[in-house]
Amino acid sequence: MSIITVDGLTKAYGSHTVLNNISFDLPKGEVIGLFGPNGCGKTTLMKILTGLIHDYKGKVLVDGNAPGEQTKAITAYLPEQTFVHDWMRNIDAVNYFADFYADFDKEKALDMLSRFGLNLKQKSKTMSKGMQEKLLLSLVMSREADLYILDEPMGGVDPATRASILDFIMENYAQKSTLLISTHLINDLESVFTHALFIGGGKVLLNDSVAEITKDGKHIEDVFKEVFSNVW
Amino acid sequence: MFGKLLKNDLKAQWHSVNIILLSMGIICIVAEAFAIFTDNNVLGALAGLLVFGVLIFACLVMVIAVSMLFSKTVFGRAGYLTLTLPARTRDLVWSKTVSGLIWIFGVFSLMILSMFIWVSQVDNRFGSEIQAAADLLSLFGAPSISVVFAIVAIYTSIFAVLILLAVQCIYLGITLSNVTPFSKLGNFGAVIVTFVSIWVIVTITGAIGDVLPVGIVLTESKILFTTDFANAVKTLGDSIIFRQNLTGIVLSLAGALLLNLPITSLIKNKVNIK
Repeated sequence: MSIITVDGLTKAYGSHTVLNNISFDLPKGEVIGLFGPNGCGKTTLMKILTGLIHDYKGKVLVDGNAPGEQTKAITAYLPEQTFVHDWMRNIDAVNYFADFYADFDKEKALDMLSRFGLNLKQKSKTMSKGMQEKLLLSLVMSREADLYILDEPMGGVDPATRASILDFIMENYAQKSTLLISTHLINDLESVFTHALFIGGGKVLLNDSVAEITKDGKHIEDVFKEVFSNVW
Repeated sequence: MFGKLLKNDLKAQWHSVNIILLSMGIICIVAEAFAIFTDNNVLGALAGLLVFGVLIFACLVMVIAVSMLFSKTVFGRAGYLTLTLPARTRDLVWSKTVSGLIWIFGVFSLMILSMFIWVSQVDNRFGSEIQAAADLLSLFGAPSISVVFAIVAIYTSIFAVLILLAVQCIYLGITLSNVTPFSKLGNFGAVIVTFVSIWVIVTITGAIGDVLPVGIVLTESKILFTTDFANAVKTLGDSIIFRQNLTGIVLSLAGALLLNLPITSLIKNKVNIK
């Protein structure tokens, strides 16, 4: 069973084609790593999956439906940048999610904020990038979503905190769900991935289980270097 | 879902203007108190005028704030939150439209009220024959309260429709300025599209209103809706207290409602969140 089906997807920005007629399926219930060099279209692909980009060619299905109202209800998305309104305090952001997402667990979110040491009354705009990232992560991971899409979830976090954030994600995502994570920090996350999707040069370069691609004793990062040395 | 969206949009709008509105509110209260209690007629009248002026400024601030919030929450970084909500795009746009209408109309109503209060105060201070509120209302040639309420209701509806139309045109301008190739014009393009769309709709609806006049006519004893506006005015003659051609305003309302379609369609099919 596929959670994501992409068929003949092409997306260009002006004359620059980022995704060029790509097709792939991603299995349900896996922790999927989305890998590729900067500018290869990882974020674009995630935005298409979450319904933030519309002018593409090809077919995209999330759990059998084109990105829209239905798929947004089952997808929890953590973008690279903060999206909370400036006026919102942490508690306002929690209440906002509780208002709109039927699968949001408010108690869990409050507990996570407390674990991260975030003050409920602190305003989003007064928080550091790292604190904002923890807030967003708490909000997103407090949903019982079918699909989590995390774009560079540890991009703004110091190395010491990365391990705890990773544990946090793995503890809190709804089991049976699918996690799609884009990251450059392959080594930090290698242990959790069960499936890998490599994109580069507008194409899908590899789409396979981690067990399969590391059967020769290689690490994902080795495979990454191998694949992309041929592309760039 | 619409109710939740509207609640949050009203709240977000409040947070975007609360400091400036509260500051203006304090200025108005102080100026109004001064206008009421001072013995100096000229200064009292000027203080009342200041309140009116501040509220005109508040209306402008509100229009700008509504435009900015729409731009930020749909096309800015908060668009990541807004456009990933499990809500129909149509509802998202309607919620922001109704929220904008409520806020602008609220401040606009206060401005109109302050104008009435100012006129009343000036009349009182400068010894006009008009003293009481009921007399003030007769400025409109309205001899009874029920007719006055009908006139106020009509004007309120007309202002609401015009504000709704303006909000929709602003949203269309902002949306188009985020779609290629209009995006090259940036905010300038948004302003141009806003004014051009208002002008086009008002001109077209006004022209149709002249050709197909449907109006409301008020006399002391009855309220008459007529498709033969000119004849009704001719027949009822001096007994008419108030008359208004409604075709243009009804069509403007229809135009404002229909503008939701292109805005929704553009956001749904053309706009990419950066």
